Amino acid sequence: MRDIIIITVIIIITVILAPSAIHAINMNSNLYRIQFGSVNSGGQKMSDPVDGTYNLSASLGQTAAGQFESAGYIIKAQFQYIYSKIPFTFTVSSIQANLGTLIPSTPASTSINLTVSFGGAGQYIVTAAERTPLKNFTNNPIPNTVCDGGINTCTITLAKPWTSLSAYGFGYNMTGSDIPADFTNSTYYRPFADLSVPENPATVMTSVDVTQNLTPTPNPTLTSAPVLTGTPRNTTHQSTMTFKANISPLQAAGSYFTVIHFVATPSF
Amino acid sequence: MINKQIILKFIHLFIYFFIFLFLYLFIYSNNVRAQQITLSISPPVVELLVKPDKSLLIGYTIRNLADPTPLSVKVRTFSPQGDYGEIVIDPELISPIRFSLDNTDMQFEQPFFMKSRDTVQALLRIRVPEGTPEGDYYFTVLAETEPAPQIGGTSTSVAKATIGSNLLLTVTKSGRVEVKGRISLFQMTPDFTFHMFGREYQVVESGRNIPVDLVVQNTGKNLIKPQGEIVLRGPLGQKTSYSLFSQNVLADSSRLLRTLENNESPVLHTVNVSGYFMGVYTLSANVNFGEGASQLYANTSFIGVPIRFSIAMLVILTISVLIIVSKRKRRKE
Repeated sequence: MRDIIIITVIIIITVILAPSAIHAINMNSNLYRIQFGSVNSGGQKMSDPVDGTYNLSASLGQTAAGQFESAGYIIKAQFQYIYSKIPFTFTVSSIQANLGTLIPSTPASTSINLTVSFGGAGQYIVTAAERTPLKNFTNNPIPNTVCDGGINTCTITLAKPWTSLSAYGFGYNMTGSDIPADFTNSTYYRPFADLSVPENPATVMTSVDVTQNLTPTPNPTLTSAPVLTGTPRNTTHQSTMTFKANISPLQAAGSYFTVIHFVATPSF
Repeated sequence: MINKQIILKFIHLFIYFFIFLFLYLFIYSNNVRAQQITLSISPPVVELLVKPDKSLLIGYTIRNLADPTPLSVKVRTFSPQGDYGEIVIDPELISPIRFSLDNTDMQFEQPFFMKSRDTVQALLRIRVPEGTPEGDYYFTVLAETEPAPQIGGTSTSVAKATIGSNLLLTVTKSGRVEVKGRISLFQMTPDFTFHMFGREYQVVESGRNIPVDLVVQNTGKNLIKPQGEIVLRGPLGQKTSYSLFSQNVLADSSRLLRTLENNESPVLHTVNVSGYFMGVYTLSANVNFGEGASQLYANTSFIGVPIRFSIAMLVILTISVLIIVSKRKRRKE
């Protein structure tokens, strides 16, 4: 009985001591100085701290669209036609896509998620390219996939089915939001653009409608609350990239390595 | 005897302590997850109109919202590609415009460490040297992670993430810019077309959405911001307007314009015109580049026909006639 009481007390103490989430937010730092800080309430005037050659007037938030004038130049920051407080944000769910030890004629695959958040209007683009083909320690490369070949030959901008076990190479499939239309389903693959050739990176995610809700909501009436007709704003778009490698019996089994370079940019 | 009791108590205490440690470490341990990259940059786009021989400073706020990572900042030129606002970032920076970072602890292409939830402000100094040719210069300010070293024993694709912000710089001595553009494409997608009396007629199914594309080409040396509307006029004088979204069309490039209508189609179009179309309709595009600039105009027309309904009626009519004819034949026999 005494043991039960003691164990109960231990459990209670453990629960009380359970760590809660702690989030630190850096409000300032001595490593940088705020030149165009996000002033979200009120505005202020400031001058160039370096040479004092111009004055800036920031009104109600630099995060909103703004125009700064000085002798000799005009600056327009942000998109001019829609206000945004959500910065352009890009997430790669894992820095490593692990395909394990590759065995001939045994396809290996793994996935990562790509996420874009953007409060501003306008388009965004995410491109992907490989630094080199997948190589092992003896610099023996796995060729980029051509998918099943024949009429199903894929290119860096055109996905085709890759289901044959005797079709060898390295490539990727995309599913989810804002992906190119040629990724019809999960069997469609493309090879990566090879930066060592060099080839231009291929677009893997793009949208002109990211996070924006352009459907106007009606003006409020005096008699009743307005009925909002706009579609809810979706501030996050996510896709999944699946890497696949299948090596031929002539290729050495083992570990291969490459760097996949993702570039996310808002449009102009 | 006393010693035995003390040892027993000590063993009990040890067991209780072990239970406590087990509960604390195993039950309340954090979830294991892969190392993640999340970067944000602000502002996402900057437009500059600068005289030669001027220097100015722009602050870019870069946030690391995920795991700690080494990061570096660089500037590259870009050029527009295609009609959909895509860009190609050049591998090198070759430009008369000079860039530097005013930060004391940050240099171009030199990695610095960013802690989780850390924010840095890259102070980009832009210098337009005297004698810089007038025109537009397009750059992307890039913040990129350094890829992690390979973990031995497995085949791995390591992700290197880069986030960019576009910088559209116009160099002008007088402040005047060249605004020149033309409508290079204004078309709708018909179901079929036919030619009669030397004219082409476009026919669409009455109930379907009609994709309309409007592409403006910039023939000048400075970026332009087309404005205007697309107007649909019906056979009974009915009129629907679609306002154009003011997007930048960069020098020597074209861009598919968009309207304020929500465009959910995965294939990009300026607007998807919806309705039930019966008769002859006219679509016109009115585009201008701001106050005082000349207007550009283009139009096209189509005929709305209830094709499916007509085919269904024809089939029903044919079947009915056949039934009636066969019944009459039977009666005669």
